[in-house]
Amino acid sequence: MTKNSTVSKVLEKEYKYGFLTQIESEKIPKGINEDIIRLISKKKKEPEFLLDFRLKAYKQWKMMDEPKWADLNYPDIDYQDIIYYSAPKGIEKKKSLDEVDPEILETFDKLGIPLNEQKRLSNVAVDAVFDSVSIATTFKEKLAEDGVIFCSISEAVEEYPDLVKQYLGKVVPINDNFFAALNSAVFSDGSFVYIPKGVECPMELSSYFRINSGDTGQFERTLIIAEERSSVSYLEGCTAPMFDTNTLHAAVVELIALDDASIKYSTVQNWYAGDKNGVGGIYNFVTKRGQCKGKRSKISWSQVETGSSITWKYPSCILQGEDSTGEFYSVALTNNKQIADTGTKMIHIGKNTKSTIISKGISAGHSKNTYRGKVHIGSKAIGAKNYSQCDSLLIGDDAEANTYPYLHSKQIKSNIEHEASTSKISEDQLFYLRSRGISNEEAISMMVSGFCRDVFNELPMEFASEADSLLGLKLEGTVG
Amino acid sequence: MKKICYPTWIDSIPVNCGLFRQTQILAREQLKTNGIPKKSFEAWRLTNSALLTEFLKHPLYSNNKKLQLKNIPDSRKSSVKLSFNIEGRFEASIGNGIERLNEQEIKLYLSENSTSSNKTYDFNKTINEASNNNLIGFRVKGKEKQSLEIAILASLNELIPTRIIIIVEEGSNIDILQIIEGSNSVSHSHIIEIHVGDSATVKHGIVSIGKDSSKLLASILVRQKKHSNYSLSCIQKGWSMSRFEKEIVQLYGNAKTTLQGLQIAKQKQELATHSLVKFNGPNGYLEQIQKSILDDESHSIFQGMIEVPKIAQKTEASQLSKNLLLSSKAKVDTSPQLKIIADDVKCNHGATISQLSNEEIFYLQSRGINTKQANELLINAFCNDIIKNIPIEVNQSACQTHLAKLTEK
Amino acid sequence: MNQKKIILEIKDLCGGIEGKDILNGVNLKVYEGEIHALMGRNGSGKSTLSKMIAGHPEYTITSGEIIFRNKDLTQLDPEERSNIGVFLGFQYPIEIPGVKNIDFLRVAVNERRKILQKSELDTFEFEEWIEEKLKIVKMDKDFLERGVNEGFSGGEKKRNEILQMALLEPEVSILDETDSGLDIDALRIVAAGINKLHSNESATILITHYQRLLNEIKPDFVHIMKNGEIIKTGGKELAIELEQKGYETFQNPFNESKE
Repeated sequence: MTKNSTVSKVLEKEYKYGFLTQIESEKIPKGINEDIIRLISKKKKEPEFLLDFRLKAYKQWKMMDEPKWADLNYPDIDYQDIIYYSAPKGIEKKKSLDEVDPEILETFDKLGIPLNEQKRLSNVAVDAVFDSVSIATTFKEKLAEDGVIFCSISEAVEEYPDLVKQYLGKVVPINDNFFAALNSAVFSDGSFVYIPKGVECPMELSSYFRINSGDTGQFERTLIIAEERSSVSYLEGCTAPMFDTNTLHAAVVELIALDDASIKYSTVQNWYAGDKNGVGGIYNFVTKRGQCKGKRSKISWSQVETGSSITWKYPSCILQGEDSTGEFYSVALTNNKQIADTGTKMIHIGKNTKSTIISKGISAGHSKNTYRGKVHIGSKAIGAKNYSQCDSLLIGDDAEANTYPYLHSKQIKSNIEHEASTSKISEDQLFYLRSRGISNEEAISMMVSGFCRDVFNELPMEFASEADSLLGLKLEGTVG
Repeated sequence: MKKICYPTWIDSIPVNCGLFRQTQILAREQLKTNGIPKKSFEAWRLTNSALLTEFLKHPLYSNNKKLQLKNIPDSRKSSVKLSFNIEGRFEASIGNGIERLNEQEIKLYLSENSTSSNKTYDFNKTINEASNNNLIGFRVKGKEKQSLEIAILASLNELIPTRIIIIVEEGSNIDILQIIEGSNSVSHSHIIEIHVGDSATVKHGIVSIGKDSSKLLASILVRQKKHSNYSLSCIQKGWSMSRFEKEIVQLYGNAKTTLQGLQIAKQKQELATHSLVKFNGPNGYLEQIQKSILDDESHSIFQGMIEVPKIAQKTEASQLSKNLLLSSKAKVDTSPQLKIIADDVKCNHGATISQLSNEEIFYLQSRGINTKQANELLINAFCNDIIKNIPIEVNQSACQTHLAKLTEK
Repeated sequence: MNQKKIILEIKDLCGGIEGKDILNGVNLKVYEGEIHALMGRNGSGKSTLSKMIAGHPEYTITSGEIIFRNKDLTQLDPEERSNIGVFLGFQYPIEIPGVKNIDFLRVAVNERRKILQKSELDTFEFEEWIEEKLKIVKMDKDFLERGVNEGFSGGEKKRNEILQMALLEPEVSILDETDSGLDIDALRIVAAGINKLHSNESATILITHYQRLLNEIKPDFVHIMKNGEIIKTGGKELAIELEQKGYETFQNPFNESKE
């Protein structure tokens, strides 16, 4: 008993991003219909093709049913009670950082993402998204020297409509699933990245998403294109204030890697998770998919999921190009009444495609943590290989850990290997650490960190330590 | 308008006036409402429903109530053989320590385990109850090791529903050998329910071999009490479609379960195993391995769920699915699943899908063995750890005949 | 000559695990600068005694005292015991995958340094400092980058234990069958390490089955344990006698109890 309470003490850390920024926002009326979609499109001064895209998606969405997963209950979402567009007032005329409301700049400062020239991180370019709009993108000019485009998706629509038209909705079709269709209809902003042929992106790119208003859904859209022989590492972080109502976040992320290109996409997700009794928090229903279109291309997803009251998220790889590689590294920590249902899909289409899945779930409190993953080896994927490892750590006897892998193979010359285990922190390991003078609390932290090590090793340096402290673990130097 | 499924066929089933009347009426209603399970049910997602509909097209064999008992030659003293003969009758011989359940006991049993208590639609149980006019029950007693052989061999173009209940009393010990065969377009619907009492031991082997376009739906329901030990080795080969649903519940934990399965498929056969093991108490133990070998255009399905609720602390469970692809047109779906709420447990599962190892073949070849022989040796080795746990002692000669069929091409 | 100070005193210690009594009144006094050898068959209570001194939560003390430097240990958490200078070298050091050896060692050392009122070592200082200590057990730096004992051979695990002893600079070290599972070279390395770390201000208790460790480390006292008691104490000649005659000679009429 005492042990369990120490463990939960370790895991329980106040949500320090829960503050609300007082700012005047321009919101459109609640609800969704064709007029609303036209209004969003008009506000963003979008070309015709995009409005068509949105309307088509909306038509599809209307005909679709909200997915009802087995053993998961949450109150019905009233889609007419959501505001689909909210932007800080006067945002349209922003040209430089000086014109951005200081309140907002301060908000990002507080979140540890300083945007202004003096304070900003020297090796990371940041696109900061506040509610429905992108506020600022740093290092744009510097990146442009190498031909790298990094901007908000709205800006990309204006400046590079051909690229957007060519790739948007190609990896995640508008009718892919209920939430992807909704996103396609109403997406407001997000990031756009284009790495030209042969360019290794000179710095880490990063987007930071902040939901500020309580009644607004966030529907961001990210599109990353890596041309032949290019490479990029992209980070994504997110937080929200504490509200006692649930806020919907339904993002779509599309990645395209051409011959010999490589994309590394890392997420540290720390949306507000609701309180101890599961009141409030973000519904995080996200579609993320990468297409390894080119030969020898590589897409790697890493994620640390600690927030949100409900998370559904399966960052996937379509391994189309010969010798392409897909990777998925995930740590999901749930506490109190959180639900995380996450995993990946590795679809092997091309010859000699390889995928690796490492998933670490930690469930504490009354939470439910599920790994749901699919490995599909198609009939042409000669020489395809998959290795999956899914481990769960249970803390306290009210937490639930589920492992649902679906493995499918149609190819004789292929290999799938899946391993999974569920365990708790061993008393003997705990005693060993304590007998070397390490306190109970710290010993547990160390072991949780150690449990996640394989995944932390995959995170970019800048995020690795943040991820560690996110887990509520103060241990320094374990990572990196 | 509510759609009624297969009304003509369902109404053509002979009506029974006796013991089973009530369950039959209920089951027929269910069948009319639900028909063939929908693809949207996770458990039926991968099943070829065209093959399922054939179950509801066959004529039924005529009613039988008569039972004959026989001794098995050349086996242990207390052995019983229950066999399904050509006229569609069960024959069984009763030895010491095995008793038939009488009508009263069966009635009591049915009332305690009625279909209506099921939350989800159990297709096999429903067609079985809708069409079956018989249920054979045994009680196993005493300390001496018992043997029971159940042979269901059929070659008619019929639906053959069979249902058996075995109650193994406290401290008893029994080997059960089941042989199920089918040829032509026989469709079996088989249910066996085994209640394993405190400290009782059951070693259960099933050799099921189909030919032609024969099909088999089988449900194995096991309830284990404390300190009991249940082991199952189950082999499926050659059915155009076979599906074993295994549901094992450790009622109070503190028991040991071993499940082994082997699916050998070729041509366009579809062989499936769906298992659920649930621990309703602490200190349970499970070891499960499911293997499949696939040739030609065959399809193997495995879905295995292990449920460890909060009450089941100190459970140890392991589950492994191993699949061997021999042809480029065969396909495998496997999904070993864990659902765990207790924190003081050790559970793991694993799955592999692969082909025969080139290195192993090369090693054998370098010792002068040709490719064909090497393949055979490796395939046999793959099967052997399942086959070796079939309780052949029950009826050695019958076992040998049937097991020999496994290696037939 | 200065009066030697007592470091560890065990008084009438009784207790066991899961309700089973294993120790039936152990008495032992250990002074500064001494090396004690504790011998006895499996199940005689040697490991139980060591676990109780280190404070394993599954072992219960029913009566008796463990006094370290005039302080009763029995109420302290395992980490507190370690911090003040009590060290247990495990018979079977457990593997902790994922937790990097060097991180673990640095945290452990800094906790000890707090008590010794020394400054904490940062990553770089620690790496420098540990390099010296690695030489004592002839360990490669690579071991530091691996998980705690993860995939270590038997000998490597035992050397890692001695490395920890070297780093933590304990005042009393109980080494539980540190010699078991070691080949002759590894045994020499481990024994040399223990000899090097032994000082006039600290004490060492060796738990062992065999004389061979005692050829390398010369004990001042040898105790024979049986049924949860120390039944005989002598000098190093007792170990030789034991080697020749076996434990049977020291049979006493009580039943064997299991550890």
